[in-house]
Amino acid sequence: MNTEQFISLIEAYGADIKRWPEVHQQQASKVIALNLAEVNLALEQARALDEIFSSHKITPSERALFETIVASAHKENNTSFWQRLRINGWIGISSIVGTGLAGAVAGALFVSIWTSSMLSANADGTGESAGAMAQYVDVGQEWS
Amino acid sequence: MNTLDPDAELLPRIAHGDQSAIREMVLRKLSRLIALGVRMLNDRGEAEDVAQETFLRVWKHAEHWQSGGAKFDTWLHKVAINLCYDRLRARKGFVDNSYSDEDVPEMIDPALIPEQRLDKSQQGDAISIALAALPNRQREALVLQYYQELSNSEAADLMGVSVDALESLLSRARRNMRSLLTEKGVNKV
Repeated sequence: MNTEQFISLIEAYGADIKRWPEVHQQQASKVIALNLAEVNLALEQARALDEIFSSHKITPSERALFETIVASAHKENNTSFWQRLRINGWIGISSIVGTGLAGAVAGALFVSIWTSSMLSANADGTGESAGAMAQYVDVGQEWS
Repeated sequence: MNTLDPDAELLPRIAHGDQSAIREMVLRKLSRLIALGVRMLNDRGEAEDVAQETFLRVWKHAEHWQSGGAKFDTWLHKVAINLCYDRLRARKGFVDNSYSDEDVPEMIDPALIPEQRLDKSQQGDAISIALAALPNRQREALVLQYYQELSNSEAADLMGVSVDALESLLSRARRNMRSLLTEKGVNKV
């Protein structure tokens, strides 16, 4: 690193070499060790500016703001919880409705098959419900 | 703990509503965000609003945070800086001098800073006013690199510029600050 490069970096990063990019720190220390007037002047000016910058303090935040921000996290988390619950709720309701529909279809199918088998079994009119079935048929015949 | 990103381990806990993780995150970051906002906006109230809005983004994104990309602190600064720019743009007379190479115009009100040596409080005010007088990108570079102590590559990434461009912004920022502060009796060198 030559003097010009050193001064260019000091103008950007200030006099504290620890604040410089690590890749330059070792070489910068070597330049400082040379004790050149031009380098010393640049360091002195940069150090004075750094001291002024460092004197600029920002008052710490108040406790109330801290607690407000912490509370905002719980609010956000609660919102997310209810949103998730709402989504899960819809999934639950859909499951119940779907299961119910499937049961109804299966039941209807079973009843249909069972009824068909009963009709087949009573086709010769010897079954217990033959009279009822005959009555139903008779009613139909009356309307025709 | 993730040694490369010490904040990352808090985020899954925050996503599950862990009270201690939430408090720890606010404890670690609130002062940094307030300092960033005050120096960028020169307005304490607006800086506090920016800090609150930034934390809301943290709570919202904690669940989806993935380690391995940008450091959480860099992401946090990016969010806060964007919110600061939103507020700067909303101000009457905002000038987008993001890429201006010009030195600062005479913007400090002489009535605010008397000629004699300033006391601590007055010096603080003078620095705030000088920072506010800098072009936005110069102020951003100085605040991120010097005050927030981001590395040069982090600051450059955040600002979307090369390290060389960042160094150029920093040099001009320091030169302008020296000029402004010397003129008002703060800097004697």
